[in-house]
Amino acid sequence: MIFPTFSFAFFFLVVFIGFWYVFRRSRDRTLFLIAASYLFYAFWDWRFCFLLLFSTALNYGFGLLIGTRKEHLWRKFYLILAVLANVLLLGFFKYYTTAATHLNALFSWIAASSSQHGSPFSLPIITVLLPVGISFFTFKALSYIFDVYLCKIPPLKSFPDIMLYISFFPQLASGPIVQASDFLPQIEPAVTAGIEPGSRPIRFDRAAALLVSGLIKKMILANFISTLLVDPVFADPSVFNTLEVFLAGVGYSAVIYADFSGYSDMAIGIALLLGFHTPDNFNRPYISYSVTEFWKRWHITFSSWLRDYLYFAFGGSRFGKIRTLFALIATMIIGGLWHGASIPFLIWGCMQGCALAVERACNYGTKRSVRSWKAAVQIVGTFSFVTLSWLVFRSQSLQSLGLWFSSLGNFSIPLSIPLPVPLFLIILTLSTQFVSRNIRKRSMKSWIAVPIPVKGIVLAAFFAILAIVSMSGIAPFIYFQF
Amino acid sequence: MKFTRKDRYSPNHVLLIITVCVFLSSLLCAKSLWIPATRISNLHIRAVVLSITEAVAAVSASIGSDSVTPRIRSAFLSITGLDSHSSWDSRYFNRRNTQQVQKKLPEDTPIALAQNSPNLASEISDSTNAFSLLKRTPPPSTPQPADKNVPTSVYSCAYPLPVYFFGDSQVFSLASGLSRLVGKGSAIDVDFLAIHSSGFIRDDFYDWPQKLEDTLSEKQYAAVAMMLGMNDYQNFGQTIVESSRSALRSGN
Repeated sequence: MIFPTFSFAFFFLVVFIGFWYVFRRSRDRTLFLIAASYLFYAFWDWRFCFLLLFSTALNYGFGLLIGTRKEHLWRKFYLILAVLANVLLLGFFKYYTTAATHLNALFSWIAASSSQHGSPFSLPIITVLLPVGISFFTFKALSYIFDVYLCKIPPLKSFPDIMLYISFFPQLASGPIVQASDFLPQIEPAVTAGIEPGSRPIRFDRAAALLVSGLIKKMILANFISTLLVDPVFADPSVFNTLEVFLAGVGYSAVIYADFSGYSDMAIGIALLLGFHTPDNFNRPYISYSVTEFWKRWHITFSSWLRDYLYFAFGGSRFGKIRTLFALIATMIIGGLWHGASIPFLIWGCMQGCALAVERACNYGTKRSVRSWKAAVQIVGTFSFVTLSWLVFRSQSLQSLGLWFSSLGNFSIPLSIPLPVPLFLIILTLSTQFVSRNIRKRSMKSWIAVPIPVKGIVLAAFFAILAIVSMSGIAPFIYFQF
Repeated sequence: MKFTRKDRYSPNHVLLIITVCVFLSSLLCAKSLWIPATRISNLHIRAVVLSITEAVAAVSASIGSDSVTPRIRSAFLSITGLDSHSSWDSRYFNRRNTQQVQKKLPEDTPIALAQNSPNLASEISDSTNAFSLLKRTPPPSTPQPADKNVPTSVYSCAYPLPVYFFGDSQVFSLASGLSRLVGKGSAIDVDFLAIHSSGFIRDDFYDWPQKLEDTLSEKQYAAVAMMLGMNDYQNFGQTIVESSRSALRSGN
């Protein structure tokens, strides 16, 4: 069940009424949200609910063990055990098949080079279905463990609270990866809100704006550009003209932004309707003047997670420049592999890590140039690097990446894709990055001033427009595969 | 941005806005409301929602607002040139033809068998019969090359072997992989069509038999490969049971 569907709208309406009207006690509301979240997850595969429950119980137990111990060594020991358990769980579902295949090939090669008949070692190849959102909820669970270890929060005694944190349905499938120290303190105010007469607990204006923004980004911008240009060209770039191949590369940057930030907007809006605040996940990333700034604007909850729990754990900037550069590269390589066990993700992580390290070594990217043309060069340069890295990210193999580059020379092939619509939408997507915070604030103020019944009419008109322009079929979200 | 009391709403306010929004958008989109409703996997919920959409459609038709959205959509698609694109082509997507299909069904389909049989369960359990739903159009008996003047056994860059792949989202990777493998200017010409979430049985979502009939009448292929079925597990059995029951109830 994905957000922009009738099924989800029906499901959410039931959850909304149940949460605000039927269940009035905090414990009942918590349990109701947990039940709704597990039901939401069961729509993909009910068996994964047991995995989610197992992960929750595991981390609840480790949280108690870490939190109740005062000796540093024991705390560290339990932390290492907890991290290992989570990594093994994630690794089994996400990396085992790839790792076993490569290791078996390595064993065979060693056996062949030592003139043996067949490898004495062979790992069984098990084909397992990747549970939806496992990377996201594992990182959330690890956030709880790290926050308890770092004494940011006390260990939870209430099992339902950690169940709600890890399984909260707006954030379950593709994030945002809200840290435990952000989410857990919200539970009590959220589940007790709206009980006293005359209370107004829902930030509907912001929620509606985020839902509308998310739907436009996903249903119009991402789906149109992807279907009309990016997918056909990336299927086989060799049969397309240079211009089409180039625009598909730039278009993919627009698609991945619109797709993922659209999903994040919807997730934040849905959580707001239930009284939960979620930190922003995207903040106009393509106007970044350096890769360092890009990672403060792109997938912010993920980059914050990497910074708080990995980069700082590697030493951060406390142990000299060399150690800092190592920490940056290692963090981004792990960040790359988090997306999947493949060479392109490894290269993508290396690219990001090396770019951050170079910028840190040259002390570049700390501030925007005061001259506008220099700032423009900085922005275009960063965007070009990011687009290049998305090409690596999208490629299933190095060969397909090479094919895209070699197809840039297809000057003689005639144009075969009608470009005006996708080109207009790419420009539109990228130009939304330049809408300043002030304009957004003023727009929000105007939206807030609209009378309540008119808001209903405006939203109805929006959904009618969406019905007019949307694709007939269903397009999946890019980040669901992670 | 800072939020004041003015920016906050009670659940009653939110429900009021949602009610106004749902009511108005239902009137505007009444003709197409059944489309998202049919994608609800739970049959009971789907039945409830479909009956509501029927009622809304009737009200909308009585005041004449039901044709507004479809007219603007067809105008938008023709202006942008998207009406012939496979992802917007309404000739094959979302066809509400279950009852028509029931009337046309050959006698050996499970639904037809169910209509003539008092023992539904045993007849429906033979799920292989359901695949005959796809047999609306008999496949070409012998593959024909695109040009009859070309010898059938020799294919070259000038006269490539036309191959057509169709199916669900997995075909995209499979066929584009083959396309990249054979490269441009090869003796194999790969065409493909991948429709996300499409399947064998659910021709209410995408009408593959009709699409194939039209595609294969426009161009002939030496080989056609299909990859379908992954999306049919969802409510394959339930769909047949539901259709059979409704057929029995209507006495057809």
